[in-house]
Amino acid sequence: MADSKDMDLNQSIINYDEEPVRPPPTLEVGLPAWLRQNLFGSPADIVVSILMSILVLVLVVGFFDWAVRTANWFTIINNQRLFMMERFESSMEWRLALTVLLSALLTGFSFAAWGRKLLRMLTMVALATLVLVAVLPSLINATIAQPKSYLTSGNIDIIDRASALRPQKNLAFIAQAGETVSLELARDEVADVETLSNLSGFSDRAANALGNAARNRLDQIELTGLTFDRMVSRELTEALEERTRLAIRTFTRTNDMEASTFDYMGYLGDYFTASDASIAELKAWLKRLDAAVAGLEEPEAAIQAAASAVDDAVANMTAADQMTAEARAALQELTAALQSGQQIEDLGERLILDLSEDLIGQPDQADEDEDLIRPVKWETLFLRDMFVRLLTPQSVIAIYDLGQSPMQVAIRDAETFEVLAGGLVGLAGETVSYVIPRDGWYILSKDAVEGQEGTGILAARGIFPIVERTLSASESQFVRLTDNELEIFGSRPQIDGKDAPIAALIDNQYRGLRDLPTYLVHFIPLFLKQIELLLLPFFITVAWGYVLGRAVAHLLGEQTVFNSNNSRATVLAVAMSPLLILLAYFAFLDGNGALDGLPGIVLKILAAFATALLVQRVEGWLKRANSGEEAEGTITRLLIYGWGVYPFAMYLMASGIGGLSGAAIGSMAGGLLWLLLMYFIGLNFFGGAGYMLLIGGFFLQIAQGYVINIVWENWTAEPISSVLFWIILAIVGVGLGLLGFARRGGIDANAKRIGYLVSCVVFISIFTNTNLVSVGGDGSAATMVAIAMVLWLGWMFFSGTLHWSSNRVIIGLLLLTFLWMQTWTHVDRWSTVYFIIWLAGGALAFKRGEWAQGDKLKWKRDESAPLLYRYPGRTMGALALAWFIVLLIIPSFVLGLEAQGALQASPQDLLPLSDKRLWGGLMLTMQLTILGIGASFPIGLLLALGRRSKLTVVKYTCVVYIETVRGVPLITILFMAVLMVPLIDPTLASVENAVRAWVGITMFSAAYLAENVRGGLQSLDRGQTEAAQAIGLSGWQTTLYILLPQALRAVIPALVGQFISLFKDTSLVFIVGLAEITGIAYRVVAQPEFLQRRQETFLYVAIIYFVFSYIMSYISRRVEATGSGAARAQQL
Amino acid sequence: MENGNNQMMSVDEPMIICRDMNKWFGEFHVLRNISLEVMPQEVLVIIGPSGSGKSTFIRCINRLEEHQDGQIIVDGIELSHDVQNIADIRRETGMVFQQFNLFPHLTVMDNISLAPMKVRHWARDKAEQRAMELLERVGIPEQAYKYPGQLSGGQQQRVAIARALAMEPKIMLFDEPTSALDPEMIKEVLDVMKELARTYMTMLVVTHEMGFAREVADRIIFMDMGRIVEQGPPENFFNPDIEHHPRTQEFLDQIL
Repeated sequence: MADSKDMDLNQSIINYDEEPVRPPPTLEVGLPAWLRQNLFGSPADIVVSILMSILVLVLVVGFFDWAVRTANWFTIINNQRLFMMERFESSMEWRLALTVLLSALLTGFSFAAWGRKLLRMLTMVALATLVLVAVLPSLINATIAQPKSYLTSGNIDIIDRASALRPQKNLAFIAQAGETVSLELARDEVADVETLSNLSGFSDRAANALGNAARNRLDQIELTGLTFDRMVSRELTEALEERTRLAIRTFTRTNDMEASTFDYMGYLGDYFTASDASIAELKAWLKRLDAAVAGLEEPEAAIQAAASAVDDAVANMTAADQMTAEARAALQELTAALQSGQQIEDLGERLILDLSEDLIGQPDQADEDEDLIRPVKWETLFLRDMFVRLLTPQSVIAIYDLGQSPMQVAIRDAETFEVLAGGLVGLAGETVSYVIPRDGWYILSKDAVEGQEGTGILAARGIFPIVERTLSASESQFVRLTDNELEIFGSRPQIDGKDAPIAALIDNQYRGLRDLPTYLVHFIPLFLKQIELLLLPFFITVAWGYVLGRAVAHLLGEQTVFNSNNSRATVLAVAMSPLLILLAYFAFLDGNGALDGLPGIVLKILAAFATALLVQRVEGWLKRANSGEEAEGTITRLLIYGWGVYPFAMYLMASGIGGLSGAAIGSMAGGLLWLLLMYFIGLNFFGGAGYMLLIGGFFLQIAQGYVINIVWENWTAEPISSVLFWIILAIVGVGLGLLGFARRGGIDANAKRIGYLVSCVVFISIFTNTNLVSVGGDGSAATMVAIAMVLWLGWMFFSGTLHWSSNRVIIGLLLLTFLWMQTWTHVDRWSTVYFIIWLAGGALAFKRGEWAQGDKLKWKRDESAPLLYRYPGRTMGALALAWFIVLLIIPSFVLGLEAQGALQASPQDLLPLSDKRLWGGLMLTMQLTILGIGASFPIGLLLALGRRSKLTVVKYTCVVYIETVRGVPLITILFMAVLMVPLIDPTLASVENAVRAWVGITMFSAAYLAENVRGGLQSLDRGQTEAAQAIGLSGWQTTLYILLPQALRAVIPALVGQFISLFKDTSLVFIVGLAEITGIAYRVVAQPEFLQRRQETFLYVAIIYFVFSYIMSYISRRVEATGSGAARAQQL
Repeated sequence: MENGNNQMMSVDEPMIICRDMNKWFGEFHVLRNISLEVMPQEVLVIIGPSGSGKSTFIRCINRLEEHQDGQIIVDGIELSHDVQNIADIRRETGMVFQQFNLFPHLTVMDNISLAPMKVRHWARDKAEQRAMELLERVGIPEQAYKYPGQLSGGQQQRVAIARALAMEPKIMLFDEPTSALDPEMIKEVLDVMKELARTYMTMLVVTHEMGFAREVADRIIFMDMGRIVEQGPPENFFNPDIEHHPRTQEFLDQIL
């Protein structure tokens, strides 16, 4: 810059080396900047921020106030099972629990593949929860004294509205060894009506009735006062207005007009609020009046006298501060007269009118305004009190003479009725207390002292209301409300052959306000206990799934793990340890309270930290190697299979599988082994040797099937029930064939052709209602085989290149088997079909193996290969051995049983079918949602593709379907499915409502999904199709690999929106009589104990809906941000 | 220039034969009596004004457009409604589009290896190995695991060429491969195409790059109004001393 005079004016080089690098201004970074930018950016922003925070504060404070002080959370806590699964058979509950744990495992696995960072955060949350549930209940019980429990005693009926309650003479309660039960007469609580009205918490019905009566009285006093105010205020207001006008007129002459006007307005206001001092004064008055009234004898005459006295008094009233003695006396008399119940309202009104007239009648004294107004005020208050007193009932304390008479109490043994402790509790504060020697039932006897009449309220410690949970018709479980630690099964103690009364929870106890300690004691331990029971196993299983997922990824893909000395053992140990924690946890839970108290808490916390530590450290222990990417791919694929199978598992676990017996599972195991063997044969033998083994395997398998089928004839009374089992077998077979080779590029042409053949056979078999393989061969079955052969040959000739060698063998074998099976005498149609599917699965596995031969050669000497492939010879040998054993054992097992006659009865089902009419609660919601999504998504996809099809018939069928369904409300569809379908076809009446509702929801949702997907398809560029065609992809391949992935990615938000609305729409099924979680909510608020507890119930239901909806929407956002979506986000 | 004719391959059979091919879009007659033979290893450049039907013509060769009259025979297989024939021909021809048409949801690697795996049933290892070789050939191996959206236009077009080559086609069709590119990027794509021409690939190129045509083409075809107006070797075609069809002359006057 120094040589600036030579500088070229058109171009300059600025020496920016001299400019130092400075940090940005403090207010431009960090929190201040964020606050300024986001909350206080502009005046409008500031206003909105402040208003919003005020609103939020108000709402939050209001909510917590309600939640802590008013809400009755037992509505939720006691009905948890109902909310979750309604009346689902309790013997099958474990199946649902297993489903939930499976989902937890898959969730953990998903975290391992997709959300490791998120999991770390969630671990902390889970950890906090763990510590909380383990520590807090004990902490609360240790630090906050259990509230007193109030029990009535005595022999006078307590009247509450229409019901009369006599205090229980005996009361059964549960107590724990070491606890102290103490009883005394409540005195502070009955000192006045206000305290009595606050009597809430755990008390018996009679005590509640007393509290209610006190509350009712207070309410009525308030109401009567308001009535008086309404009556009198008009008169007074007029009088005062008049005076104000006068005053203004008077003060116009002065300069101080405005000030005096304000003074008057102030006086005006005073009339409507009585100060504490004047109330106290009135109370004192009342007491004296009471005393005077008691002495009156002739009410009629007294009324007359009093009325005239009042007239006189009013006439004599001066502008002084106090009423004259005559007026006072007259009023006393009047009150007494009125108390006899005559002409109350008339007289009251007259009194007021008199007074008002008097006020209005003295307008001249405007300049003495202050003196005038004071007596009016005072008198009004007095009269108000009189009025209230005349119209409200007597004090509850006075009626029942509470706190006046001593009571006789005793604690007895529940069985022998022997008195363990007892005595008199009375005015002097005598206390009866007893240390409980052992857990169990006790009986409290309480009554008035013999020969006397009286009522008293006992303040008890150590006696709590009891919840009775009916487990079955014969068995009940009894739990104290304040803690869940002590559970007693069996029945109540008996007194005189009847169940002893217990103090059961009633909703009225929560009508009053609660303070925070009470809330903590009553609800928190119970709530946390439920969390512990429900969520903790879930959390730990998630952690286990995660660790397992990481371990699997490493086992599959990491060379370093195998190369190091003991790392595989480490991996396995790491993978298994959370399982051990889980098992230990359940063991502790079942440990009969052995781990209650400090050791239990310490152990639980240690388990929690161990799990968390494991999750945190697992990445470090299992170091990621270079080949990690491949392992990620494998674990992701496993995961997709897992989640794909999950809905079926969930449904099958809930509904059960008919005909699934031990023998069936054994047979399936044999089939699976066979499939694996076929795969390895395909993998390891070229040409002829492999085919010979294949043929041998086929024949052995057929032989086994033959033997089993002879036996099966005896016990497949219901062949349909075994359908699922066989279909699973076929799916597993195909999946196995594909396992590990999916990355090799999908199904090759030959496998496709086999699949084609198999589906020809199967579909023709299924759709042709002929006895496919009947006794001694059937012409129609032969026809089917012929058709299958023709179709197959047609396909072979019309298609292009073909590896004839292995296909010939396999096809030949299949057809041969088929024909041969016709000579059997003991097979039914269904089992033939499944047998063929099974054999075809084996053939497919063989083909896959053969196809992968190239890789095998490479792997044989490769230490880095996945475990199964590294030693194919050994693996195959082991498989063959296992298969032969199963092959030999199963038939002999079955035959052996038959010989013993055990098979004459149908075999024991492992997963018997559940009654779908009992499905309900969250479980039904989830079933409908997941199955609804699972079914409607593929249907929607096909509808969308169909709507774009060039085949006019297909296209318009889809259009008509979509438009029709979209034009009808879901509720109509549900009504049709549930109510009208059985009318149309009576045979469908046997289908459960849940299934029909599911079909309705699926139909409905599919139409909307179709439109969403179509939108995605339409958004795609034509060039994509052309490019796909140009590189030789077929139409279906183009759709599958190019169009659908893009289209679906584009409409993820819309799809998930549809899923979420399906989830929420399941609540509509309660209209057709199914009790999913909303339906349950309606049932809960109809329970007598929790009548109209709508806030708590529906808040809970709303939270459940929200949690699952949010999870769905979160997952959708995550999915959007993967793959090319992540690349796009990065770019932006 | 004369690179193809004295090689030892089956040069006597034409790779592509068109006989009296006609095509209509509705009532509009797009291609009129196109007759043409393309020999193996020949590089054929098709030029002409917009709307002359040149793109439609090469799109007919792999059946992205359907011709309604006449014959097209590719590598001995006649294009007809037979689905199998269409599939076979598409397996033999690669195509590069003006707008690249890469699959945005797949990585570069997957874009290239998809078709070999799905259509030729190669194992993934083999397909990816081949894809990597091709990426090296077009000069961007380091971009293999990116998504198309993260690449520049020139890189995308090179990936598109690699994708077309992955099927090991006998014929490559280029439909204005450089028209959508920034000037800076045109060269990198043309270089790849020149390199391809040197490996004796049969190529049909629709382009406006006259330099490229002059340097690489064995034969240039000028199309107008759906007809082949004129054809010849580039040294003749761009020679002002030789007499051209008036329409060709008009076109050449405008671009040269």
